[in-house]
Amino acid sequence: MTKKLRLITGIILFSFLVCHLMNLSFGLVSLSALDNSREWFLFFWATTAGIALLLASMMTHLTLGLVALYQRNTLRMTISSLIQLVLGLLIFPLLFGHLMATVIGPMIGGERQSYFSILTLFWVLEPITGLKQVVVTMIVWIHGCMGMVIWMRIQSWWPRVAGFVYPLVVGIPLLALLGMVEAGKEVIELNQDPDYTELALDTLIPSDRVYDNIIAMLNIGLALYFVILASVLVARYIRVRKDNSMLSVTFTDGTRFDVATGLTLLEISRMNNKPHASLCGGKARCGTCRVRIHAGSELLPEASSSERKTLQRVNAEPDTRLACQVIPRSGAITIETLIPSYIEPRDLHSTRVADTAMGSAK
Amino acid sequence: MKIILCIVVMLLLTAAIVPAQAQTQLRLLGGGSEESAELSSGQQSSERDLEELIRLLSNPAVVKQLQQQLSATANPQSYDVLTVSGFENYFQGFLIKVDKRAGEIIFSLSGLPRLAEALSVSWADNMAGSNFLQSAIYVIIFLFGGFGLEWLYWCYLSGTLKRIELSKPKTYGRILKIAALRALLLFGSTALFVFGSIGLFIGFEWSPFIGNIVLSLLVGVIAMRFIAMISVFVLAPRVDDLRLLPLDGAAAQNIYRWILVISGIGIFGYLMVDTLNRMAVESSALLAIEMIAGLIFTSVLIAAIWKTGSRRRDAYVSSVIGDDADSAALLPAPGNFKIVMWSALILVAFILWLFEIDAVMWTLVILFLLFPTIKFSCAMVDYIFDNIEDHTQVKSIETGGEDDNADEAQSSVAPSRYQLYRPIAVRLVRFLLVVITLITLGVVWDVRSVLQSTSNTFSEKVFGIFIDIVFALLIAEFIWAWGKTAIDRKLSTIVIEEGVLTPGPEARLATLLPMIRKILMATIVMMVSLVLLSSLGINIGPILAGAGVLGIALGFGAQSLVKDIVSGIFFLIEDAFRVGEYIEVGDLRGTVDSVSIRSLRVRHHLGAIHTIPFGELKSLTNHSRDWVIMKLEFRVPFDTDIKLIKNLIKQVNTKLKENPDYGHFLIEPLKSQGVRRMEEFNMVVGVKFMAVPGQQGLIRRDAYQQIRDIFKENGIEFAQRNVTVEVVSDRELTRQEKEAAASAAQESVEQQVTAPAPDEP
Repeated sequence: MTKKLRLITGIILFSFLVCHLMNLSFGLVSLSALDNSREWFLFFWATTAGIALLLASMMTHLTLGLVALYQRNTLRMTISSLIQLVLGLLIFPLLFGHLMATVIGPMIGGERQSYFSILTLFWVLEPITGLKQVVVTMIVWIHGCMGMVIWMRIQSWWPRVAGFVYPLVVGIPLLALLGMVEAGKEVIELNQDPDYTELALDTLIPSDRVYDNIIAMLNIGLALYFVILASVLVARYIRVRKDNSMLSVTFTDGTRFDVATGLTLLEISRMNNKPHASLCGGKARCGTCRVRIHAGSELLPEASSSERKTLQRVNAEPDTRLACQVIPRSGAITIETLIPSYIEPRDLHSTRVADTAMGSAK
Repeated sequence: MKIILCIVVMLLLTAAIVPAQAQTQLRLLGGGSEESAELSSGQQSSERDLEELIRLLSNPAVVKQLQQQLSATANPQSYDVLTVSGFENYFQGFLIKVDKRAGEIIFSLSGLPRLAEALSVSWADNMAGSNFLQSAIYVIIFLFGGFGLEWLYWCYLSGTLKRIELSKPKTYGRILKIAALRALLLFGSTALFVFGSIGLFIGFEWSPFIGNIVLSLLVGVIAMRFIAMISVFVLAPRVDDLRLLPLDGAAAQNIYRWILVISGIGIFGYLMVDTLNRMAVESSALLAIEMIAGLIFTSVLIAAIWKTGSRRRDAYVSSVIGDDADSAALLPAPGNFKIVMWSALILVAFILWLFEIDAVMWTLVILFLLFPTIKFSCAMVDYIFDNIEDHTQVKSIETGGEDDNADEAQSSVAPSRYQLYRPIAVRLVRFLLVVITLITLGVVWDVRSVLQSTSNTFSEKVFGIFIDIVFALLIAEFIWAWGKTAIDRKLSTIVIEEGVLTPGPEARLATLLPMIRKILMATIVMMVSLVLLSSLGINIGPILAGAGVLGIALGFGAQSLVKDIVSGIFFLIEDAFRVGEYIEVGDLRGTVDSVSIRSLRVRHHLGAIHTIPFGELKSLTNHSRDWVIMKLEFRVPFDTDIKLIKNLIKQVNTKLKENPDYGHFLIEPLKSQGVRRMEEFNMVVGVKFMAVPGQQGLIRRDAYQQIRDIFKENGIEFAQRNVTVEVVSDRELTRQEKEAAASAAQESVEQQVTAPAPDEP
């Protein structure tokens, strides 16, 4: 349930991001084009409902992410999970300022910002903010794309669509950033005239009181975030007192790893550079990571409902478990991977591999 | 022997030629007064400069000195170091140079405390007027573009890469092909990164100083990625099956990481010094930075050697004694000598570099790298040849064909066709490495002129001679190794079976090949000694002329000898006869006893030995090849039953075939040929059989005996020479008359003269 909610809020946030970035790419044409196209791209998101949805999605997504972090048994994870986690955690502190200026500021008495005023802030008044903005754009885009692609990979329509999606993943942010640079050049030129700078400053800081409020909220928000993050990490550590018991995992192809307990079987394979299929990235959705337990099944915990559902969906045999979900206790276990590690998303639903991968509907 | 040769070459090279730099410095130090006068005049106004110049040029003495100096620059006189005075001059110049450099180093070291300050001032100066944050944004964008394009590339091609990495090639050729394919894929991704990042870089407007720095950093990153790509191609740290070198996974990963670290530090150190140069930092500060960078690089190299060296040491120890901790304590730890030696070498090289004694530094580095490079290359060649064919398939033939012994023996005895080239490849690789080393050393020491042998100093001459000798010896060894290996390999495959009466064609190879080897050896030795003599400067013209005259004289005299030898070779090649065969030459006949280079010895069956030079063999009859047919005849009376004879011969044949001693020598059975001729008193019935050459006598003996026995049993009489006197008389003859008739008949019997017994075994 929580995973689905995280996914849905993520999709909402991502679609906003795509709209915003596509809007920004019009900066390559001109500053006025940028402003004019804003209506078209952001008309839903600029409404009250839209803003409320966005804010709610963001809070939910962040909270669910922190909960997932709390539930991790170990902080050792694959590179991609680590990147996803770190980038996700970095988003809020870096983005909060922009959020304040553009969304929350107008709600508490500030003025609605235009592209001109914000770009003046980025390129002329406080270039460090501009740098921060570019960095956070990259971070949000990568985090969002990783999440989206991991979800889309296991859908049946993915193989047809993948070829078109990948160039967009590179193209949209690149064009947006280039648009920002181009429009920035125009803005810098305009700001040669001090009247324009005056105008921008007026828009950004309508009055000292509002400004102080905004700054105060900014500081409180950031402080709160770091406190919450720290407490989540501490709580997690308290929950998981590391015991140094050893587990021996033997595969039927002869490889054997002796590791500390606390990792899932998939993580154990990954840590040791053993190729192991996992198309959904360890979220118990695709079933490609499933393994047959030849010995040591008593070391494994009970299957969760999502695991059972997925195993049922792929018509798995009784002694098969999902490697991404099971965390064995200490002892010795012998397993056999059932799906070749180089399986691609397009093979997941094809009829050839249907019997092994997704199971045939009988 | 080879090591001594190399050491001697090394010593000669270090002492042979003066490097050009020390020479020019010496000239500058000595003849600087003229130039300083002209330099000081440059401080005046330009008009007066020109007037001054015109005045100087019109002075013939000045012009002459200028010309002399120009010609001296064009033809630098090199100090003849192998003479005492030459060496003194060279050494003096060397000391002056080192002294000067030491002064510079000490000065810059004394300025170290102020280094940081000087650098920051210079940095601030250069950065004034550049927009740092804007440039940071541009950097992030082009990095995103470059990496983004690369990511896009891998979206489509990562499956292909995985498939390539999972294939398991068996032979070295296939490993090379698949690794190259993988390298091509990796190259594509790096190329896209270059395209994306540099493309976007060009699209932005940069302030000059920052732009230069960013560009050099980007170029540094791209250079590192290409180095990483090449290392991945060769080392394949993650994929055991595609590794081109005989290393295990952990060692390959370790080496790969160290390569990245060392090349990273090297590249970025160089770029940093380059940037500082462009920042117009004070030269002593620059020197200090160079020294620090050099020191860091040297320490990283030494650390790398210690880390990898000790890893291998641990591996060696554990491989020798396993996990037995007790013996581990007893076994003396293998020494660190090599590691220490290499670390010392690197330190010395660093110091030489610091003092700008480049030539000696490069010589040291190249020569010390030569030995391990040769060892490594030869090991690589061996490894390649070991894996050049698919051993797993050969093994399966051996295990699968248990019932077929012949196949088993064949697959283990027959060497693969590539193994012939192994010693050639090893020698070729060594040869190439030595050539490359000599050429590199030549470039380092600026000895281009020497190779054109227009030199006139003693040391240059000696150097030239040594190069000639070394090359001649290397080439001779190369050819000899190839010839010897080919011949030895062929000889080892010859298995002369004992107890076979007519040995096969291997025997003649066994005669020919040693002969060819001796000829090859003699030719090579002769030619190498002539080359050596000529390179030492001895005029070999008279030697060649004398040898030529001697050769002609011997040739005329030895005409028939040569004719014998050449005919003999051709007879042997044609397989006209083999040792043990019964041959007939002219009216000499016998079994071939032995074959020499000029003649053949044939033993007559009565014991006499005929020695026949090959030149005399116009034609040769060989009675022992493949099969002989023997025809036997019997005289039988006219009323003999031919059909009965035929049946009886069949029975005899059966008995003959069953005989254990000679039955298997019978190729075609004994057959009756019916009546061959009709003679006066009898019919001649013939039988024939085909047997293995040499065994027909054995069969004939028993055949005759059994035929006689079986004819007797069946009532067939042999024809007897008799004269029937028909007496037309009505009364019986008297005894006298009978005797008279008998003696008359006797005469007619005796008239039939038998042919002389043929001379056959």
